[in-house]
Amino acid sequence: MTFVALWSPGSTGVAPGAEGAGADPLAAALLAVAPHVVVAESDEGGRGRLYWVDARGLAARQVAADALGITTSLGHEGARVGISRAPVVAAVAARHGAARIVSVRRGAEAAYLAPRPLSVLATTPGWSPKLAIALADVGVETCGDLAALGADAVEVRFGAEGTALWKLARGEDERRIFALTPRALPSASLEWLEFQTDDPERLLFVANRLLERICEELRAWGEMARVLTLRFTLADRSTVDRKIRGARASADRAAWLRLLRAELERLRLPDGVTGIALRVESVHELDTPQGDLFDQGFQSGAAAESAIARLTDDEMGRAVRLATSAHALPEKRLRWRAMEFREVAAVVREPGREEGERPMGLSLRLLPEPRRVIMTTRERRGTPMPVRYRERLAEGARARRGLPLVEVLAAAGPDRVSAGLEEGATVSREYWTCLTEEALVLLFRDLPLGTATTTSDEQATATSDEQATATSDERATTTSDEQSTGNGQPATGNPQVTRDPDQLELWFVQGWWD
Amino acid sequence: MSAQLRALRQLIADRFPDAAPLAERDANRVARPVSTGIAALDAAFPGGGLPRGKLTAWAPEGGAAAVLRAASRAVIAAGERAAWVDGARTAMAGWASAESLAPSGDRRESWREWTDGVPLVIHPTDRTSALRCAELLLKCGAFSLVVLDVLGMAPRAEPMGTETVRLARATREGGGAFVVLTPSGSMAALRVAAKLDPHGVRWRRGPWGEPALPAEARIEVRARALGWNAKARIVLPVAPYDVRCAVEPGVDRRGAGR
Repeated sequence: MTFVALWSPGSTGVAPGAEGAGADPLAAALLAVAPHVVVAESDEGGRGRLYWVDARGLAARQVAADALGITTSLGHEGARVGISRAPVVAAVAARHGAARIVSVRRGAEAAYLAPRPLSVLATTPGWSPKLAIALADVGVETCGDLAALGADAVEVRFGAEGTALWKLARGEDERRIFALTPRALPSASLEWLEFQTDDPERLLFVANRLLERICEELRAWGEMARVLTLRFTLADRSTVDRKIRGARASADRAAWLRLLRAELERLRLPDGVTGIALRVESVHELDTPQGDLFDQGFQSGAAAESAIARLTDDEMGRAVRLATSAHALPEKRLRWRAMEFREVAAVVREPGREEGERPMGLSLRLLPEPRRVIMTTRERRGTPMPVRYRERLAEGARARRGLPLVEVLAAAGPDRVSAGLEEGATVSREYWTCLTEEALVLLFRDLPLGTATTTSDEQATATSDEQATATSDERATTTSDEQSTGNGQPATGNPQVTRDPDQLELWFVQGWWD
Repeated sequence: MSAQLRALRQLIADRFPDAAPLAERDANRVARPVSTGIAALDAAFPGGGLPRGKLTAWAPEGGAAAVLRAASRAVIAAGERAAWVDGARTAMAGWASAESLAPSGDRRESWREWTDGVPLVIHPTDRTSALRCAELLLKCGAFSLVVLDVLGMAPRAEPMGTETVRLARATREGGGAFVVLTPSGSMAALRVAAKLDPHGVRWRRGPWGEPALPAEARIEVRARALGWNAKARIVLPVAPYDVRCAVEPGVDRRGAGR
C-alpha cells in the first residue's frame, strides 16, 4: 500500500480529518485524481497543511504529479509531495523533502528518516514536548539516534509514548489514514405507476423476484442476511416499513419467502401499493462449520438446524430445556426454559454422546397445573386417606385412561409440606403417593385453617401390609366441589389443633409416575 | 464379488470402522432399529427395537414415557438425535437426576439446567402446530427418534385420518423412528401398550414397617405388528420424588406416626 502525502503551504483554516469535497476547495479538486482525500492537521503556526491522497491501486507517481498540477493551478505555490509505504515517511518527505516529488523506496524508510532531527515527527500522534526534552537530555537528537536504541531500553525509560515515537523513527507506521468504506448491503426495489394493488399474492410475486436478486448477491459475497427491511410505497406517496427477522441468518430464498408471506398475511395497509423495496439491514458470514465427514451428526446437522429454524420462524413451537431447583413444592422444582436459537443450533450440530450410566425408570410427570379432583376418603389415624377419586373434567375432555372414577389400591403418606412462608403465600399440603389400577399418582390436599396433623392413636394402628389398606371401621368421608368452601388462605399446620370434622378439603392431582 | 475382495473389505471395515462408504453406512443405519435401551423389551419388538421409517403407536401411560426416555437416551448415546414434541407440557422429572430434585433446606432458588442425554424438547403452540413440528422433524431426516405426545392438549388431539397418513409419509422419507402416544393404532406398523402391574409394585418401607415409597414397578408391554404379537415384562425402578420438608438428615419423619 502506497501513501501519497501532499503538503501545501498556502492551505489553512480547514478542520482536520475532514474527508471529501465539502471540506476544502483543494481537497475537492484533488478528488479528481483519487477516490479519497483526507485533510490532515495543519502545521504549527499555520505554515501549511497536509493532504492525504488515496493512491491505493493507482500509479502513485502519476497521482502525485496530477495532484501537484492541480495544486499549482489553484495558486498554491511551493507544494510538495511525498510517496512512501509508511505514512510518517510520506508526510516527512512532503514537508521537508528537497524536491517537489520525493518517493522513498520500500525498505529505505528508516534510512530516509535517520539523518533528520526528531522535530520532523512533531506532527505525529506519538510526539509530545516533554518526551522531546527527555530525549534531548540523553543526547537523542535525530531519528537515527532514536531508531538505534533497543525497544526494551526505550520502553523502560520513556514508556509507551516513547515506544510509539521509536517505531515512527524506524519508519514503522500502522496508522489507518483512510477509513474503510462500508460496502452497500444488497437491496432491490420495483415501482409501478400505472396501477396500485393490495393483493398479497401479487405483492408476494414481486417480493419473490426481488428476494431472488438479493439472495444471489448475498451468496456471491458469502454472506447471510439477518434482518431485511420490506418497504411499501403507497399510492398516497407514504411508505410503510416492516422489519423481517428470521430465527437465524440465511441466504435461502425459500426461507425468507416464507417469512415474507407470513408478514404479508398479517399486514393491513391503508392504501394501494405502488412499489416494493427490499433491503438487507445486517449480514452474517456464511457458516462453514468444520467437522468429521464420517460423523453422522455432522452430516445431518444442517438439516436439523433448518427444521428447527423453520418451526421457530413459523411460530409452530419452541425448543425448551428442563431446569430444576430444590424448592419444597413439586410444581416449583421443575420448569421449562425457552432456548435461544443459537443454543438449539449448538445442540443439534453436535448431538454428543452420553457417557456413563443412563438412569431409567418411572419418574414423576407433573401436570402444568395441579388438577382438582373430587375425593372420597377414609379416616386413618386421624388423617383422611384417599380411597377413590373422580377427576373434574372440562366439557368434552376425557379422564386419563378413560376412567373418571379411580380406585386407590394403596396409599403411602401423608407427607406434609409447608412452604412459602418467606414469600408471604404460605402453602400447607398433605401429599399421598397412591397406587391405582393404572398408575402411581401423586395426590395432595390443601390443609385449611385449623387442620390437625396428629392424633394420639396413630402409632398403634400402623399397618405392616405391603399395601397400606385401611381398616373397616375407618370412617368414609366424601368431599365434592359443590360442598367445598376453600377460602384460598391455607395456613401452616399446627400440630396441637384438633381437626374440625366439618372442615372440607380440596384435593388435587399433582402428577403421575410414567 | 470374490472372496478375496470380500475379505479385504471386511479387513478395512474392521480396522477403520469410520471409513465405511456413506451409502453403506446409511443403509446399515436405516436397517437397524432404534433400541429402547432395555434388552428384554427390544426382544419383544419385531427387528429388535422401534422400526425406522415407520410409525409406532404407543398407548400412553403405564410406563410409556419411561421406556421412551430410555430409548431417547440410547439414541443420544449412539451419537444420533432424538426429539420430543411435548404438547402436554408436563414437567418430566425423568430428565433430571433424582438427587437434584430432593428438597433442600437452602431456600435460595438456584436452577440447574439439564442437557446431557436429554433430547430436543419442543413445546408446540397448538395441536396443528404439534403435528407440523413432528412432520418437519421427521422429514428433515436428522432425527433418529421423534416422539409425539399431544394427548394433554385437547380432547382427541392425537393425529387422525389423513394427518396420520401424512406423518407416516414423512417418517418414511426421513428414515427415523416415529412414536405417537395414542390409544388408537391405525396406520401404525407397530402397536405397543404398556401397563403397570399393580401387584408388581415393590414398596420401600418406612421406619414403622408401612409402605413409604414405591421402589420398583413391574410393567407389562405388549407389542403387536403384522404377524407379530409378543409380550415382555420389565421391572423399572421408580425414581424417588421426595416431597418431605424435613431438613434434618437421619431419621425419616414421614408418615402420620411422627
